[in-house]
Amino acid sequence: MLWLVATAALFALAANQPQRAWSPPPQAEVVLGDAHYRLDAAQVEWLQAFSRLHFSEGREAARALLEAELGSGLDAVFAGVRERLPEFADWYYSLGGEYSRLGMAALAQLNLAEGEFIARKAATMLFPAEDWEAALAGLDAHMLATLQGHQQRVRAGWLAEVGERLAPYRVPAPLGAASDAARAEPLRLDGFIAQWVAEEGEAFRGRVQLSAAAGGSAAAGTVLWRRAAARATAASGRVVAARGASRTAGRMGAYATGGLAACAATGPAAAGCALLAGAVAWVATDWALLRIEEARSRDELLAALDAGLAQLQAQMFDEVLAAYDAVAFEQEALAGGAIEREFRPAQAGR
Amino acid sequence: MLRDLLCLLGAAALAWVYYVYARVLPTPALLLAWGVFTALIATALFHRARIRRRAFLAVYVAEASPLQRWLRGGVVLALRPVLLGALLALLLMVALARIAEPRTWLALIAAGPVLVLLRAWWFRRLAGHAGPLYLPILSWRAAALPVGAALTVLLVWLAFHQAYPDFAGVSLERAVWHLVDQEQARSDPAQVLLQAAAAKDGLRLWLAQQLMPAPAASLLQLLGWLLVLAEEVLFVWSYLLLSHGLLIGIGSIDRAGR
Repeated sequence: MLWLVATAALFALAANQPQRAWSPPPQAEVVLGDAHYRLDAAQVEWLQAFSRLHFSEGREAARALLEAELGSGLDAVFAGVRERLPEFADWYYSLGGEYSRLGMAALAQLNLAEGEFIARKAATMLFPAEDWEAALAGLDAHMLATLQGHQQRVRAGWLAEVGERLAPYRVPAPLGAASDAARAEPLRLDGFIAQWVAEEGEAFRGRVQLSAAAGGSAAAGTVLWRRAAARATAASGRVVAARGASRTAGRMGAYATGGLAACAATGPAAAGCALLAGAVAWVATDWALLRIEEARSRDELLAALDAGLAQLQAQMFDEVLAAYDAVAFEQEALAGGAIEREFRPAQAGR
Repeated sequence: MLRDLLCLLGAAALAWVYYVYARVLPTPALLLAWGVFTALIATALFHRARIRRRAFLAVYVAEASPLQRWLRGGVVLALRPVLLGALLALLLMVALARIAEPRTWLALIAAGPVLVLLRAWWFRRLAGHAGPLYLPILSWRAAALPVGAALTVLLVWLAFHQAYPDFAGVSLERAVWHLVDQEQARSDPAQVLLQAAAAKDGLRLWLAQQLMPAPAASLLQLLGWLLVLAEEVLFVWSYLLLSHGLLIGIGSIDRAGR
């Protein structure tokens, strides 16, 4: 009876009691290309920290690279602008230039001040729209290509380093059968990184642009002229603003009176002669004054323009780098969040 | 007979309890279990060796010779059964821990009373023919042979109808890894042994499935099934030795014949 009961109990237990399973410490399945790896929580944590550090260093290196490329690129672009400075100074100290400015001053009711006219002229002469925008677009394209090339190198370096470090933990790929249905989705590093790098490239493509920083040739001309004028005025007070006051319309009467005295002998044509003589005298005086002024202030104007160009170049340089820093900061935060999201399930062993 | 029945039920219970906890036991507990299994199997093997030695001494050595005392069997004679017992115990433990079919347990439990009844029948039938020293062994062998054969056939049949993963078009490395990866145990040495056994199964299954379309498929498949048969024979033999060891220790017939 005892035996019967014991046998029946053992039968029942053997039929219904499953084997106690051992759950090993959680491990994450990591996929890199065709290679599969098994990592424990500490190794996933290392991978996460390494990835953060690697891409952060990559961004810093990209900034240094961008700084160098941007510096040399802007030097080349502004060297072209500097070559055109004497031409602008020639116009500025020419009679045509002088009378254009006076004419524009007379049209003040149309809100065309002298300075804005000169700024437009400076934009036209120093920053010819087509050349300027083409040069900036070329530099933009070069910087983007440099950034993308750098990102590819950073990614390749990361893949090589991770592949090498994870080699001891490589396992064969699991069977893609129904038996794997219960297995959680692995952490696919290459897909995640490719998407991340592509998104980062797009973010930089849209926002780190010289053409955006410069704001077009007209804006560049305006900024340059304002800075040059402010600098020259502050230096001597005579280059730009002072000259107009020295030649008033009252001078016309004095020249006409002088001409009338000279043409008294011409009889009935004396008035016309006087007007012509007055005009010639005025132009001649203006020319002489311009020559004197050019002799006194041409170098100063050129220096002010050169300094303004240097300021504009530095401003563009700073703005592009600031834009890069802003995007890089956002990307670092986004990448940090993305790494956190992707790696957290793996750390938990999925 | 009740004692023997309870004894073999105890052997089945011991094996089953080990099976249930095999994957969660720490290494020291598994070493203890290995020691117990080895002791039981070695007891059965040593018992037979001593009977053979007694027969040898009775035939070839004079009763008054001091050789009778020197050769009666001691540590040296026990060495081989212990070593073989340790090996068989290890194989049995790995096989028991990897049992995937619950019906195997029903067969092992049911084999106990059949063995006892059959042995008792043989014991009575052979009592007038076999010597009193050899009768317990002979009756055990006469009962264990058909029961072992039946168990082997049943286990091979269960293995034949078991569902196996499809390794067609899969590399050997992935096939082996697929099975190895499923073997987990708390004890590292136990895990290594379980994974080695799984790797062996993976290799056998992969070979059988990859080479199936070849002309020599039937021969290779036959070899594959012969390997399964050999494994089952080894398993059944070890289990029967373990049961016999327990019977020798506390059973009625063998204890009386020691």
